[in-house]
Amino acid sequence: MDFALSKEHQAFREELLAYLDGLRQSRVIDLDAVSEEYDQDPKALQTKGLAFVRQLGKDGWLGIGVPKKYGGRGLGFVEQWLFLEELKYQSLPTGQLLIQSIIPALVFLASDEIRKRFLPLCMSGDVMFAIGYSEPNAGSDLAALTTRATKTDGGYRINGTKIWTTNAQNATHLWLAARTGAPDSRHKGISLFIMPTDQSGVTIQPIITQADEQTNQVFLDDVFVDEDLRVGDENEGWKFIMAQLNFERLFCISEMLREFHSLLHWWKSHKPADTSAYEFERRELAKVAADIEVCRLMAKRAAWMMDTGRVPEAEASISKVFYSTTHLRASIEGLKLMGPPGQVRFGERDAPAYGRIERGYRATPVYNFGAGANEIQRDIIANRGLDLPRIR
Amino acid sequence: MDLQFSETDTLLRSSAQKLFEERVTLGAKLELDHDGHASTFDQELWREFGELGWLSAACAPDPEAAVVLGILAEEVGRSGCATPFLRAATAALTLARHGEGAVTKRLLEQAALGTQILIPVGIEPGQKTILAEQDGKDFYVAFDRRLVEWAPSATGFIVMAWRPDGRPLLVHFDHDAPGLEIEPVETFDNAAAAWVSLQRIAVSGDAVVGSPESLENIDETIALTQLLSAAEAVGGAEGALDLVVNHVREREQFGRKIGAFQSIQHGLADVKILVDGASLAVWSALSDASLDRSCVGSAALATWLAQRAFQETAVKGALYHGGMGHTRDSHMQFLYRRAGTSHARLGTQWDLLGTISDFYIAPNLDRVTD
Repeated sequence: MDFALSKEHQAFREELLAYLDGLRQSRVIDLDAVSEEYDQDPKALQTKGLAFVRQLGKDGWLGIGVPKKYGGRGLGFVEQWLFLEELKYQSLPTGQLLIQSIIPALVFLASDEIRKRFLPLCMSGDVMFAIGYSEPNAGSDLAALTTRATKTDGGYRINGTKIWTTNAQNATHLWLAARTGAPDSRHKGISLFIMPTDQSGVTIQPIITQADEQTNQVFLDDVFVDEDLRVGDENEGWKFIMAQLNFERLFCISEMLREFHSLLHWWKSHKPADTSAYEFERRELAKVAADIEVCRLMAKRAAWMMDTGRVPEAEASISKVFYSTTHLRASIEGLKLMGPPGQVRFGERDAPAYGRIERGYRATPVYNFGAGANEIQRDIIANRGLDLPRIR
Repeated sequence: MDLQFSETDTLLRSSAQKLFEERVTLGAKLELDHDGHASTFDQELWREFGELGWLSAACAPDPEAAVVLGILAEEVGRSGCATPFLRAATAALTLARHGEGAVTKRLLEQAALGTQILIPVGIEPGQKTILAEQDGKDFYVAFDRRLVEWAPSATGFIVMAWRPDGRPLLVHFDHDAPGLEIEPVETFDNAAAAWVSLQRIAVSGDAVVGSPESLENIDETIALTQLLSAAEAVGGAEGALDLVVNHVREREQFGRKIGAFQSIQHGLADVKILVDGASLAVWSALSDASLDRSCVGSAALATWLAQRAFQETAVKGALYHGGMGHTRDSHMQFLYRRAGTSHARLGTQWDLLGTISDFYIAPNLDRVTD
């Protein structure tokens, strides 16, 4: 038993760091400007971020986990996790949705035709996706979705509304779930499509969150999608959705870690002079550090499990709940330490810890209800981790 | 990177579980727990520990023993067994790694067989409270009324004392040594304990089993022994979780198993998360120790998490058991009581968090500067 990274994993990380360093020095891309843009809205790929992700694609990094026979590097989930962690810690966009969701789904689930058509485009960063699952009345209960795909000559006509479609404004395609079965067919009547966002009938309406991040509501009004853009058989979309969600079981901690380290740097020059107050504060910080370390161990375990052919089920839900609650608590503890200056907004001059703590406080609730609400995750932990009866 | 146990380790765990299930029954625990207070332990079981080679695991300096001892500590914790195993392992590990001379050799040979039960005094993280005063060339050690777990069962004590120059000495006393006073005391756990006092006594010759030179890196050994207590706490938490999950699967109210109520499920999911996190932290640190890597910081972190997980799980376990877990005739109450005493066993929050801060806060103050 050894929890430490292997020599190969360490070599991979060093290679990545050297690559980023080289990129920074060559000034092929202004990484500081990419980071600055990313800091404004980490959820959306904008101009500089997009160019950076395309550079990653050009240099082979988006195909880390893709088997060599499909043109990738054939590495494992641990390397993918290390890649995502390092870039996020440096406030750089990662193409995470491509690496973690779309590319594995194409490699392991899609037909040869779809794979040949989209995998090279994904690995080069020439296509960008947004996930079109949630609807105004189908969130945690995704099988209740009502967006309809009606068969027509050569394809489907799609009508409905998607919501929380983050990054739709920059996406070339939606990874779209739509009902092709009877209205009450629940998960047995859903199909999956790769829908170009430039089709007639697509309207993207921004929703700005309290963290100043953009997500979207997407209205689909008689949008035509070719039949050959359906992923899998008709009405078989649910198993693809579930399998694709299985690939999303790595919960990176770097965003939280960067916020926390920013807080520590601020605290270094604002420590209380009073010894007992100082001793108290450093222990409050230690509590947060301990939980962050647990998040790191949980993420590492998930990557290791996936690399060794195991599917983290309860483990992934445990990781998700613990990460999201720790991240929120870390920002709250940061605000408590800062006192009055803690309220100064991100982007303002002299905001403590570069405003990352207050921004974290505004941004982190989403991790508690997004990507499968924590209440759903607790159901999964009880059911699959403790073998208690299913409720739903 | 390999996060799984070896086949040998898995076999050890299953044989330990089987032995504890067979021998540490509710009846056996109640028998030892006369009037709610243990005064002794199962001597026959202790002999079996010796025959199985479990006692000798702590009597060799090899770092690989950390995993074996961690597994055994977890299973002791899971069963709620009243045994001096962890205390004796602490004394033996300290002697095996840092002891010198013929006395050390003899004590370890006897400890491996189970005929010598050595109990540590003052071998705890950050505790430098027992002083070795110097008078000329001689050192004198004394302490007054220290609460020592399993002292009534000890055949000898291994005491860590600190010289005026801040360097440690390791001293051995037989349980009947002149000047040593052992006053048994009742605790609310099913572990025996005593107030132990030592009148000022000169320590020299055979009594000194470890010198400042041999005690270099003692912090790593103390961290490992702390980790074993953390592993015991994780085992206790897992045991409490198993008990309460089994209970809510069976207990019916309002025409349903209470485990089908979402509030119960979510309450248990929350403690499962804490137990899982503590277990990962403990095994990550134990794997470091087993590979001879430093574990001082990770041991403090794992211990703090294990303490929290054990306490939270025991409280929830007791609450969800209702009256059935509140009676003496319940496994649950044994673990609930032990969780309460784990605070004393695992170190104070103040010390643990101070060490975590040293290792996880101080080095990261300048990691992000823009």
